[in-house]
Formats: sequence, C-alpha cells, structure tokens
Amino acid sequence: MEHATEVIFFVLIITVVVLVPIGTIAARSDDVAQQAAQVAVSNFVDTVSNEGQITEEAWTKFQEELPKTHSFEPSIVLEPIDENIGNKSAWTSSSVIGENEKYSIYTSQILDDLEKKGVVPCKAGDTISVSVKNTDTTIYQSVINVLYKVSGKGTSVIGAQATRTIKSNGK
Amino acid sequence: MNYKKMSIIFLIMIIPISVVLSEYVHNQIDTLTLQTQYKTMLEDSTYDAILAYEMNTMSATVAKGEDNKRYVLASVNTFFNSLATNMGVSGTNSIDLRLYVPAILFTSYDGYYIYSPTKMPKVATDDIGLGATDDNGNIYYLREGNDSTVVKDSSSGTVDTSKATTDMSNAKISYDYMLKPYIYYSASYSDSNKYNLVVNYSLDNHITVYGQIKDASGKFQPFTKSGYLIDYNSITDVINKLKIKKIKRTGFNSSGNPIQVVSDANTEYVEIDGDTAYNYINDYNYTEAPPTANANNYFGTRDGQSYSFDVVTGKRYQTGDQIIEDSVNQGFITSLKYKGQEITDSDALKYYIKAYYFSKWIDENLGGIVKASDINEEIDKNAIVPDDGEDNGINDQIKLSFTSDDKIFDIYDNSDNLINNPDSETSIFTNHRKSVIQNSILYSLNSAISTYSTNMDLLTENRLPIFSQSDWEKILGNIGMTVFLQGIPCGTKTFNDYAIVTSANNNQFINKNNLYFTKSIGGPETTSYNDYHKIDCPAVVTSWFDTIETANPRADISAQFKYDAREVEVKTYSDDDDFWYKKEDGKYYKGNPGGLLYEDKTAEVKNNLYYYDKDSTIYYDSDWNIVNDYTLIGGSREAFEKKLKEIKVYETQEVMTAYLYDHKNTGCYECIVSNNYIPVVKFDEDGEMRRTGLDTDEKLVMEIPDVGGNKWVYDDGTEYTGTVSNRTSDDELNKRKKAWYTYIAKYRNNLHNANTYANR
Repeated sequence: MEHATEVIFFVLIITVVVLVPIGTIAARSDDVAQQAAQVAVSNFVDTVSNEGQITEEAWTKFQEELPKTHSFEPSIVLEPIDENIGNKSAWTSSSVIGENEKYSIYTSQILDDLEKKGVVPCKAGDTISVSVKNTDTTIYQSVINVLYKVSGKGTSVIGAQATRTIKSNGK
Repeated sequence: MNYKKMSIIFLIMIIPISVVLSEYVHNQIDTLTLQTQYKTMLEDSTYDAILAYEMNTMSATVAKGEDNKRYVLASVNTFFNSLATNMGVSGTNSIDLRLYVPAILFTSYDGYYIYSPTKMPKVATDDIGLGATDDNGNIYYLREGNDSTVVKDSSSGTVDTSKATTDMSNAKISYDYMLKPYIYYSASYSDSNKYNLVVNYSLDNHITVYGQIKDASGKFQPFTKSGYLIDYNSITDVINKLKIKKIKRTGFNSSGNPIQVVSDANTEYVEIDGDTAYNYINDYNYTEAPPTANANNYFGTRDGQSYSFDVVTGKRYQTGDQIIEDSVNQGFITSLKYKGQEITDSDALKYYIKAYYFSKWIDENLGGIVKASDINEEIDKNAIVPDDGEDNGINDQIKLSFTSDDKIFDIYDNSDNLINNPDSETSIFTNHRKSVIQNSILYSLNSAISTYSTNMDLLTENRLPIFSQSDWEKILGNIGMTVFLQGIPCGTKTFNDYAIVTSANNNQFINKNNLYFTKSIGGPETTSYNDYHKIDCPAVVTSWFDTIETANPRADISAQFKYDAREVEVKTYSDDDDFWYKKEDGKYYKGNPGGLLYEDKTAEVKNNLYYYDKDSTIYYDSDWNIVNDYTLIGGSREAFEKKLKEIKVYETQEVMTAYLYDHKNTGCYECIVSNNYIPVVKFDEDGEMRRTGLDTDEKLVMEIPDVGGNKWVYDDGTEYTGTVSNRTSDDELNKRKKAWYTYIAKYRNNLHNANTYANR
C-alpha cells in the first residue's frame, strides 16, 4: 500500500512538475508559430495582389517565412474571372469586376505552371486564397492527448489563411 | 497522515479543477481567436469590395453617364465572393452566407444604397417562363400557399386564378436580397408662413435646395439652387468684374418680331456691377428694365440694345454659371483674393465666384428663416433609433440638432460677423448636415435590419449596432462600405460585428487627406524629378507655388495614383548624398552630387547622368548601359574625368522603399509611405491652415487666433505658453495656403463638372 502510494505520488508529481509546464510552453510556441504563419500568408497574398502575378521568387520567400518549427502544407486557390460570362453591351463598360463568374485553379496546377514558366500571371479582379496547415503533431498536441484524451483536443492545428483580390494585371 | 498522502490528496483535488479550468480558458481563447479570424475575414472582404469599386469606377473604359448602381452591385458581389473564399465555402454555398448579412450600406457622395432583404411578391409565370399578365397588362402574383409558379397556358391564354391573383395584397411574399433604390441625404423643412423646401446635402459643403419661398408680395415663388456653401465675405477683388454678352437687334422680320444676333464674343461684352451681377446670376428671370407687352420692345435694354435676353423666346441667353465661366474664360477676371491669398487658376476662380454668389443668396434668402426645428416632422423627427444609453451620444446630438432654433444657413449676422462658417467642423450648418445624414442612415439601417430579423426565420434576434464617434467620422468622411455580419456560431458565442471601409482612391470626393503635390510629372529619368508630398510635409519646396499661374506645380488627388502603387528600384539616402541601387549586381552607386555632368548628347549617350565603377573605367549611362564611345562636346576627356568625382561602391546601405505612382513620380517616404514626419502646417477645427512649431520638449504645437493676438495650443486644445522653436515662417504659410485654396477649389470645380451622372 505504501509502495502504491509512493508510485501514485511520483506519477502525479511528474505530471504536475514536468508535463504541465511543457504543455504550457508548447502551447505558447504553437501560438507564436500560428502568428508567424499568418504573417507569412498575409505577406504572400499582398505581394501577389500588388504585383498581379505569382512568381517563383515570391513563392520561395513565402516558404522561407513559414515557421521552421513545424512542417506545413500550403494550399493556393486562384479564382480568375471567366471573361465569357457577364453583362456586355455596346455603350457600357465591357467588364465590371464583381459581375463575372469565376472558376478555380488549385495548388498542384499552379505549382506545375510555376515550375514550368516561373510565373503565373493574374488579372485585376481575380481572387487569390492561400492557406497553410501543419502536417506534424505538435508537442502541445501530444501533451494534451496524454493529459486528457476524453476532450478530443488532439485536433489542435496551426493554420493560417488569407484571401485578396488582385489589384493589377500581371506582366 | 504523512505528507505524501496529503500531497496526493491535494493533487487529486487540484488536478481535475485545473484541467477543467484550463479547458474552459482554452475554449475562451479559441472563441476569441475565431472571432478575430471572422473579423479579419469580414474586413478583408469589405476591403476587396471597395477595391473592386475603385477599379471599376476609375477604369479607362468607364462610359460617361454609366449608372453607379451597377458598380455598387458588383462590389456587393465581390464582397460575398471574397467572404465565401475566405471561409472556404466558395461556389454555390456562398449564397448561404447572405443569411448572416442583414444589411450592407454603401455611402456615396450625396446619398447611399442599402443591400438587404426586401419584401417582394412572387410573380407568376406562364409555361414558357414569361411573366403572366391579364388582358389589361396587370401582373399575376402567386397566391399564398401556392408553390408552383406556372399559372398560365401560353397557347390558350387561360390563367388558373386559384393559384394566382392580380391583387398584390393577397400575393405570396418572399424576402429576397436586393439593392434598394438610392436614398439622398436630404431633409425637408417648412414654415407655412414663409417657405417650404427640400435640401440635399453631401459629404462636403455642396448642397442642392429647391422648393418655394414667399416673396415680398406674399406669393410663394419656386426656386432651385445648387452649389458650394462657403464664407463668401472672404472673397474680395472680384465683385465688379463680371461681364455679360450683348445681343444686338438688327431689325424686324416680316412678322414684326425683332431679329437679333449674338455679337462677336470677343468684343461685345458689358461689365455689370456687383448688385446687378448678383441678380443676373441668382435670378433666371432678372431684367434691368421691366418687360412690356409691346413686341417691339425687348427686355433688359441698355443703350437701345438688349442684354442677355433672347427677345424671341423671352428666355435668358446666359445662365448664371455661364456668365461666370464666360467671364473667366474670356480673361475678364484673372484673379481674386480668398482669405488674403491671391487665386489665379481659372478653375479655382470659377469655383470661388460661383460659391460666392450661391452662398450669398442662401444667406440672404434662407439664412434668417430656416431653423433646424422646422425639419419636416413626418419624415425626420420620428426617425430616431432607440436611445443608445449614452449621455450626449450620437442620438442625443441628432435630437438636439433637429429641435433647436438654430438658423442653419445664417452665415453672417446683421453686422457681417461670421457666425456659422460652413467649412468649420463645429458650425451649426456642419453639425446639422451630419445629423441629417446620420439620422437618415440610422433610420434606413434600423428598418432593414428589423425587417431581416423579423422575417428571415432566424434563431437569434438581430439589431443595429451602436456606431461610435470614430465610426461616424469614417462613414461621413469619404465614400465607403459598411457591412454587418451577424449570427455566425463562433465557439461559445455568436459572432456579431461590422466593418467600415472607406475608399481612399476615388474620383467623386476630395478631402484634405487625398491631395498630393509635386513640382512636375515625370519619373527618375527626367531632370526635374520630384516626389509627391502632402501639403504639410516639410519636404515640400514652397518655391514651386510661385509659378502656380503657369501650372508648373502639380497637385493630384489620390484617385489619380494607380491603386497598385508598386515598389520600384529603391533609392537609398545617406548622410551626405544620394545613391542609386543597381538591381543587376545588387550594389549601390553614388551619383555625381552636382547632378548634370553634360548637357549635350551624342549618339551613344542617352541621358545626362553618368556613373562608373571605381575598379574599372567603365562608364554607364542612367539606364545602366555601358557607354564605350562617347564624344565630348567641347573640352577634353581629361576635363570630363576631372568632373567625375570618384564613385565608391557601397555593398550595404539602408534600403528604403519607394512607391511608384501612375505619373511616375514616387511618393515621399516620410509623409506618404511611412507617415512619420513633423507637419509644418495643420488644419484647425474651422478648416483653417495654421502654422506649427515645437515646444521645449519638441512636441508639436499649433498657433491659433486668440483675443488680443495669437496663442499656441497642443492637439488636445491645451494652451502652451513657453518658447516655441521651428516656427513656420509667414512666407511658408502663405504659399501653402495659396496652393491649398487653389487646388481644392480646382478639383471641386472639376469633379462636380465631371460627375454629372446620377448618383454621384
């Protein structure tokens, strides 16, 4: 009985003294990584919006800005304006941003084009949306799962997302 | 019990409590994070919508007269598309997002649109999809309880009247989102003994007034007037210089009517004095001589000739604005003084003269009679939203403004003292104008959101949020969009918020924050290259404004800057001189501090600036092309080389960001890019430009008039009585005032003429 009490005591001590601080620090680290990822994503979409094109240089810079403490899976969706749909008439503006339908181009296609041509041009009025999610399990998640499996908090994810309308036509 | 057992018991008690508390705190943090994300998405999407509006309205393909409504609808669509993409529900699911948007407010220069669900009767159709009508053309609506829209057989023309009715009161109602008709910032005023009128306000001092006013004989006379309201006695040196066209009578035709010709425009003008000009400009029927019934006589005679009246039609030949424009265009008026500053630009002259006569008429005819409390009871006084709970809050201010006896248009009192300056932020006119606009917007938004809440079958009740003072300053300060997003589940709460985004780049409205000055247009390749600056930037060279008459200095509103101002080859600054950054090798080169080395050009020489690499004798022109073979125009190669200072290559320098605008001038780093500068002038609450200085702690102070002289005050109005350094000189202040008064007037005159389509 005495032996069992000691074991329980030490387990509880280790939990409180070791795991809880690690969990807390890991949570803060995840928060910092979250902010850094959001800044990187926002900068990237701002760059693309201003330049009117996705360049290899911007893409490389974006990947370098993502926090190195985790591995991320970025996702890009480019929604160009479909020129064939929209109001047309002889005496009014031929195209008004916001009226036309848009179709979507996704990550793999964009990265393919980027690799082959080095640049993916866009038009004013297109929309670009970029999101990232971490693919690894963070320390915080691991600790949380140890502490209380019942809450299902293992779904904690570092993610960031930003969307912008393209402001100019790419070269 | 030993300490171990006590510790175990303690830990067993504490751990679950801390786990639960931690979970609770984490949920709260997640909720806050989600709220922040939604708020960011909302603001980003609203920003995209305004951006789309700017791009559409400033596009080169805009057709004159095109309906602004189309651009507003396109902006709303852009907002929903952007929000859906942000939330990851783009495509057909984006339509579901509308359920969380009770209203979108789009404020324009003289009115606003609201996009919200509206009660609409469901129209019935025939079997080929056309709207069903009866023989008299009355539309058939679906009856309540009937879901099928097809009620008419197109071939036989028979209508199933059990499913459809022409009586709208029995029609099936649906709530569909639509852009409601444009609402002007207007208010009606009446005093049964004196007048009955409507005033359309705008975001600045432009008003349109129309209605009836009782004349001296007791009859109500109709009138319509439109213009900018200013403190007109600040304008001098113009009153007696207007001229009107002279119309000659050359004889009579066979019917006995006079034949008249408009004389040569360059010679046949006659000067009219101040009072006569006032009458000609403000009264379309004005004549200097009373009309008679005899067809051989004609109106407005002088020296046997007819002035300004077409005797055949009996109508005025020139309107008031035409007299003013003609007088300026013909060079009869070349300058005037506004607040002591000489104005010589023709567009600015037209603005001030029109504003002078308009403001004088308003002051003399409406100033003494139109009270704020005369505002029409039915429309305006009952339209106040519920109390916001704040003492002297916005709603209290609106109520006070509508119930006081202040004379809204009384600019000068009987002794010609300025008592109500329309340019002042605290004047009776400005406060009332803002109250009218706020009241109208609040009434319409409250109605829209209440309708939405009552009829959209939602789980939560939606209400209009209370706007803060800074929110109203944004809404009333420029064209913009306000979007409400309510009812989205958000962790432990429900998301309810709104975003206000204003347009900094548009060609409909100008305020003091979007006017920029440069000496001349041109990029770095020109010799007179200059940055754009704000009027209060210390880097503005006020000697530019010595030549306003020849239009060398240039002012542009931000709409003329390309909205995608982009970073260009950066130019760095050091303590002693400028450097040029060469992208190809990433090095910094120092240019000749004297600027021009050569004025003459040879075939190989493209420009006048030269650089060379210190490690070799390679010469570059300013396009970074190697110049191998050049011919000196006079002098020798040795003399040329003596002129070149040794250029050092610096590997590292502090990099600055410059933004290239459409006219190829970059923006000043201090006042435009970083907004980190000490202004040399500031505007007080009356809209007057005042000099600034620094106190002993190098805090900014501004000089304002006081009884017996001037005094210095801080931003919050606190007086400073110590020593002031870095005072702006009189010369600096006057030159900036002259430039400011000129270009604001010029742009207001041109924008008003350019934006002639409906719903500006």
